[in-house]
Amino acid sequence: MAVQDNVSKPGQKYKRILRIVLLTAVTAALYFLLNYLGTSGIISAYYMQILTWVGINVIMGVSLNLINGITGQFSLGHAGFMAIGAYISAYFTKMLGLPFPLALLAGGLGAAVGGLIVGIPTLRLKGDYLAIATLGFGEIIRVIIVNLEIVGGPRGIPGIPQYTTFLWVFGMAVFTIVFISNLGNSRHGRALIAIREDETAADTMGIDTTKFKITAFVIGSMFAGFAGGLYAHRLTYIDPSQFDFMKSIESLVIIVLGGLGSITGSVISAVVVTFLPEVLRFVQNYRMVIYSLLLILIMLYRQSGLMGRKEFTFEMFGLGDPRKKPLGKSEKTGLGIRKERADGSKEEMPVVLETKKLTKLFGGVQASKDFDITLRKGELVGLIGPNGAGKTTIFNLLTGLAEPTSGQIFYNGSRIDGKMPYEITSIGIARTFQNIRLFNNLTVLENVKTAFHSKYKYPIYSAIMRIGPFRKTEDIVIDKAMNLLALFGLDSKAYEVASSLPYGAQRRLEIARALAIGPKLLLLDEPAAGMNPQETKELQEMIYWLRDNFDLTILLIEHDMSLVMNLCERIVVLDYGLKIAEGLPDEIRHNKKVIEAYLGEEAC
Amino acid sequence: MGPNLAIAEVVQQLVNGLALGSVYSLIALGYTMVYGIVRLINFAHGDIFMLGAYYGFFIITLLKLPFVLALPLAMLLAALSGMIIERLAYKPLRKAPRIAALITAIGVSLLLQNLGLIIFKSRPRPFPQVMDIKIWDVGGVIISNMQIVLLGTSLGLMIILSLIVYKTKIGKAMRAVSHDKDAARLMGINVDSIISLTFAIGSALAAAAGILVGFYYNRIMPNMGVMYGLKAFVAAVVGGIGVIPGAMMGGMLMGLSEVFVIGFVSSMLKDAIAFIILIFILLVKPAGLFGKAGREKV
Amino acid sequence: MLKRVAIVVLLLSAVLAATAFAAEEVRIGVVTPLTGDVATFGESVRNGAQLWQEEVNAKGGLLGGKVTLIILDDRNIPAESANVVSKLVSQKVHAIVGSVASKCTLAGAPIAQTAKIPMISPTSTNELVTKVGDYIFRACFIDPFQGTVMAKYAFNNLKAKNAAMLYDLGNDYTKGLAENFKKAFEALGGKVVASETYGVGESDFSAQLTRIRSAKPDVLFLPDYYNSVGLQVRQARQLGITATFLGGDGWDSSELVPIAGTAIEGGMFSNHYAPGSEDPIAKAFYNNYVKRFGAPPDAFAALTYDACLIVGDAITKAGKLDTKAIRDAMAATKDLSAVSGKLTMDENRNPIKGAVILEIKGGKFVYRDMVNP
Repeated sequence: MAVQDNVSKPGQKYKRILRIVLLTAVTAALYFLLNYLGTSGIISAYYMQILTWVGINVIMGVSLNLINGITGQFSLGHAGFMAIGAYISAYFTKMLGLPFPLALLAGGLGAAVGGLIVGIPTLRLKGDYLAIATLGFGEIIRVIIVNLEIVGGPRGIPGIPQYTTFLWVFGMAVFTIVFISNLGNSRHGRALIAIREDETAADTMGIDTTKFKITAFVIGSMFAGFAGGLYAHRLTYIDPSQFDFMKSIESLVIIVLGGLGSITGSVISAVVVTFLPEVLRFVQNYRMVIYSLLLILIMLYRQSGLMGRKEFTFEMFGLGDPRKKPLGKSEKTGLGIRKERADGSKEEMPVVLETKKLTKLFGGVQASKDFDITLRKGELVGLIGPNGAGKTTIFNLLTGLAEPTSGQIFYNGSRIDGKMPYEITSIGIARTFQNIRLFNNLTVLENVKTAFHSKYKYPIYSAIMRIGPFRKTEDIVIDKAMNLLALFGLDSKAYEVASSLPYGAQRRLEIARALAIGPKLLLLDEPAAGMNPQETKELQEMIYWLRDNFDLTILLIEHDMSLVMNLCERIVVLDYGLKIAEGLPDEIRHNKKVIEAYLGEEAC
Repeated sequence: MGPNLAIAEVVQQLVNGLALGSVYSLIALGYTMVYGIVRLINFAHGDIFMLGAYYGFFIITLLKLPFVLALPLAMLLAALSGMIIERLAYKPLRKAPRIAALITAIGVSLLLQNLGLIIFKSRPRPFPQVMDIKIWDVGGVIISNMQIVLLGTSLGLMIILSLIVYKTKIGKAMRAVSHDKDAARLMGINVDSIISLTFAIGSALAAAAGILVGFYYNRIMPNMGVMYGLKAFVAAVVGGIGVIPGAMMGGMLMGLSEVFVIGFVSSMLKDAIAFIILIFILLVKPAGLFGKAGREKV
Repeated sequence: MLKRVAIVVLLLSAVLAATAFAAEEVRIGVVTPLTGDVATFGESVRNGAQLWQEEVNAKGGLLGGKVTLIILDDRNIPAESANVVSKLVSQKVHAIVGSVASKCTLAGAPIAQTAKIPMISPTSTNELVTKVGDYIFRACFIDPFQGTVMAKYAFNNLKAKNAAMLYDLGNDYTKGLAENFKKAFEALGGKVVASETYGVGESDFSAQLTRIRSAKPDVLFLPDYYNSVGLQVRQARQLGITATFLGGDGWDSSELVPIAGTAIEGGMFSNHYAPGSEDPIAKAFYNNYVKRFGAPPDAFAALTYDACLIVGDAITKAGKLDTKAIRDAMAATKDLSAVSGKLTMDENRNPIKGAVILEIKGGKFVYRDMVNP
């Protein structure tokens, strides 16, 4: 097995430490330089003030990027959380006389709670609806504040002590960047990105998508709250009008310009966007017009913004992680000859999957009615039927992507109907999809790493602070992922973007990814779709090999009759949601009802 | 307060609500038709409403045309504006991720508002007086001829729209495209033209609403589209976005609920009502009252 | 002989040159919303300042030096206003005039205060503005005063027993006026029978007015700006409300009557000065403004002119371009003849001045009464 050995070689460790030291040194140097320029008067107080806004905008942009860019949830109400943070922290210092750090923390936590309250209901929505709902909530928050006399209502709160210094802003901005990048480059980050790329597929990777969406939203809101607190204690006066929809738009412009998903991009564009009004003062009448044109033009001509999804990385300086370098050609291994199985009588094998009267109605449409199936360990069963017969519906029911109208599903004896997809994945059921659902913009390796989400865990604080099991677990994950890819002959393509693979390789990747979950039951949905006879033959071999080497039970939906007849030990036939036949391939081949279903009334 | 007065007040609020609601309906129709056909929330729609009001204003004051001519002319101009915006800003993004189109729409909205601020100046303008105000007192309920014109014109336009959409071939083409663009194309329908037409009709209706509002309230401002646009959008969502009768009902509902909440609960909630209704609908029945939930094919 | 003339000429030129160099340029910063939703107000402020500057320079400037205005736009956004004030401070202005909205002034004032540069807002009426510090002034009366003025006038002069109010609860200015009106009116023994609100940008008040109609008030207090008030009075009259309309200085605009139509006839509002006033300063200001800008001035322009008068007067009295001295002189302003009457600064750096009550008669603003504090 040609797999890169990579765990904690001494050279790697030094490079890692060097990276951290360099980063810290550069950051500190930047701070001291700017601070010196400011205090000595070389940069006027006016420009130092602008730099303070830059820092606050960096926090707003990066935190919004976590929600919109990394997790792909389009929130238009970010200003509302900034407002909560601003108001709570101002209340703490001005009305309660408490120290600034405590007030800031309170503001952030308050905003996080706000994020939780808003997130739980709205994150059920998708796309446009989510955007509008968050916009609505942002406005509701503002209206609530306007009506709260205790914080001044429309008058706002003047005379807030000016505790925000350049150090505070710089420090918080750096903290935000480090926090969120660490989060992004971890198993949690992979989960978030998976949600962005394809939420349905993420569901079946063992990722609790609801929990993660809400987590991202809450963290993003918390940082917006911090930004708000810093803002309030810099301007010393806040009123509800400062946190309106336009404020949310400002943050949106920052992340769109910088590139949705790129933290580096957000930082750069925060600088640009904050300085822009100053630079454009000579055309001040047209400032807003230019702003809006910018937004439109970016969308029309360079949607990916400045940096796309790329980050400023150490690779540029040769200090990168050598494991990331493209590898040479790998030996084709693993896809070997079918092992001869001990042909014990199948009836002895325990029942892995059983459904009882499984029914699914969509309104008046009967997608599946009273479906019964029993799968024993090690079986290779085919599920066939004309288009629209309800085969994928069965898969969706089995994996929790759809809820049965009635009926029961038993896996290894316990009921699983009604469970969430990620729960079903974690007990050992994996699937592939009719239209390949890879994480197209991620690399081959990242696709597989994502699937190890629930198998190799470490807590979120470990990811953010880079302590504890993080480092070791990540190394294990890379190891396992590369091994798995090697088995499928994909390790040489590990760092290529998934969508650039040829179709057959994409199929293999999807299957490899499914195996990363470590399933006992594998559901394959039309794996041979779009394959030529040669590829189909290889697929057939692979499926046998999978069943034997990975100790699987396999249920297969297919239209390619030769594959089904050759491969499956048993076949179940569906038509209009009903099971019309079940038996050995030969029996099915000659079954009159089956022929009718496929060909219409004429029997042959 | 005697029972007569109470009834009079309720009926009065009803009249108020219907007048307001008919404006929301006209605007909501544009949102819903565009969403139905290209799945885009046209953020800039409220600003077309504003443009319509200004077109009407300038037609009446500069070209000195009577109201009955100004209305259709302004509608035509707005239709053209809508089509141009669609061609330039939205068409190139038809295959792009939805977020890109949404951001562009936001950009167009901001652009129109700010151009309006520069060209039309920020000060609100009174609408030229096009008819003498006549008021009738019907048992304590005040009805003005302006309200009748407002309601009448709105309803008339909605009826015409319904006739077009449900009784003509072009309407059938529009419905086909909003059902399944590719299938419609295979049937020989020029999808691009239909989309342009939809934008044109939606914009024309918004412009009509703009002029009627200018005429009824006697004031137009460059940012008048923001609130109206938002409320009409909520109305469209409530009725079921993409569903035409839904937009009409949603608009009326919006107008009536606003008026009744203010009238009989508290005026403090007015700003928040639209958003609360929006969130409520999105959480409880996102497809709206008349809409059908769409399923993603897995 | 020629040699002597030449020497004298040279000496004279040297002296003149020295005086010219010695007379320092007077830099006044103006922060005003030139773009954005209240751009028209911002432009009035700019115009008022420019008119003053041109008149002063025509008379030889201040302390012999030319007056330069540095006019910057704050877009009516508080954070932007703070940036602008910061920029003006870095450009070493001697005084700052601005901003318009209280929220902007409240954001910018702390910066001026810290830099010890006197700042005077022509139009910010929120009482908290001058509380920021002793370098912050204003040229207008404050909200509590204005609301009280109308309440007293309604009760004492108009003999109103019942009053209703309709105001924007998201706007600190109208809310302040309304609350003070209510307090004063009820303190006098009157009754506020209806108090309705709306949110920003509203144009349909039929629901609120229907409720007000049922309460049958004698007067209806509408403290918002002319663009909303115009609509409110129209809709009120249409609904059959017969109460007298009362308002504040936000009514002051030449657009009020065109928007409101005949509905506003008989309405009254408190203002800083009367446009038809015979007072020589006010009259001169009015005529010069019309000549210079081709349109009549509104309260914003008049107040800015007065603010500049205060600054100019203080600079002259201070005798030197020292910001502390200027501040002290501004605080000591007494009986300064201005467009809005005789101005004296009180100990909170708010001007003690009366309010003018104007009535709309025949579509024009007509002076009706004067109410002193």
